[in-house]
Amino acid sequence: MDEKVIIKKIQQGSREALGVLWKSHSTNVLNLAFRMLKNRDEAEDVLMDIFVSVPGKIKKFRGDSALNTWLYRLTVNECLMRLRSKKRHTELEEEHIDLVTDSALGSKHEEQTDLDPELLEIGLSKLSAETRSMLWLKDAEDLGIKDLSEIYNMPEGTIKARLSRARTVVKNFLQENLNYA
Amino acid sequence: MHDKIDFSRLERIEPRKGSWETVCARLDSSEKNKFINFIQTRTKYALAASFTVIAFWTTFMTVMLNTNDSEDILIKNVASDELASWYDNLGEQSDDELENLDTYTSISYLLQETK
Repeated sequence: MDEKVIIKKIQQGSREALGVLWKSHSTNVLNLAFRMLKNRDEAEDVLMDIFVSVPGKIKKFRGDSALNTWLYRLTVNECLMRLRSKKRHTELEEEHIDLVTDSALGSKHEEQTDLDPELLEIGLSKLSAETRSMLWLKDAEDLGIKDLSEIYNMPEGTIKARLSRARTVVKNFLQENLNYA
Repeated sequence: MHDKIDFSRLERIEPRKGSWETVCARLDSSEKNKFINFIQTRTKYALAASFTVIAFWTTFMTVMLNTNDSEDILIKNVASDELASWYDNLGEQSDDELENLDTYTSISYLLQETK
């Protein structure tokens, strides 16, 4: 079903169209929420909350962006709201990430074929939830910088800088731990 | 892009079985609540309208009754004035027969009456 048709049908209250949206996007939404919250149950709650809110919120959706971009934006906002309300947002702040100099970017292009998933999880946890989700959407979901700019409502330059810094933080962490292993 | 982080070995989770059903149930529930709220709102409006009509009717009736009372009083007042006027004018009108009798006739009449 065409995206515009899905949007129109959901706006008219079609449960079937919402089901199509669920089938095509629920896994992506769930994984994004899981990356941000690091909790399966909460991620599942977010997924359900998002889809329950879709019929109401889609009435204001003008179709300027792709449906998945819109859903990701809802998900990121919902997750950030939950993190803020729980005051659990004690992860590395963006200011701290800014200390990582851009000169380090691209200096170490180690192969990641034997990357330990658990170590990567720990490395990712060094990032803020927002930056982690940004990195996930870019490198795992293959979203473009323009889409990320829409989702996070930030200039493309800021997105690029954050992604570069985030990659450096993760890679440095992995490098250090692989060396000590 | 060689700079990318390789997420391919990270766990990719799937929505639990029953999640979609839960979403549907929550949507149904919210639609029911919306309907109930709609009915409640309508009922409130209907009640408010009824009270307004009753209030207007009561006010209208009260005003009407008061108007009738005041009309009665006015009639009485008019009647009272007329009566007062009539009483005041008694004996002062030119068609009074006693006034037309001359003195002689009047004395004769009185003598006849005293006999």
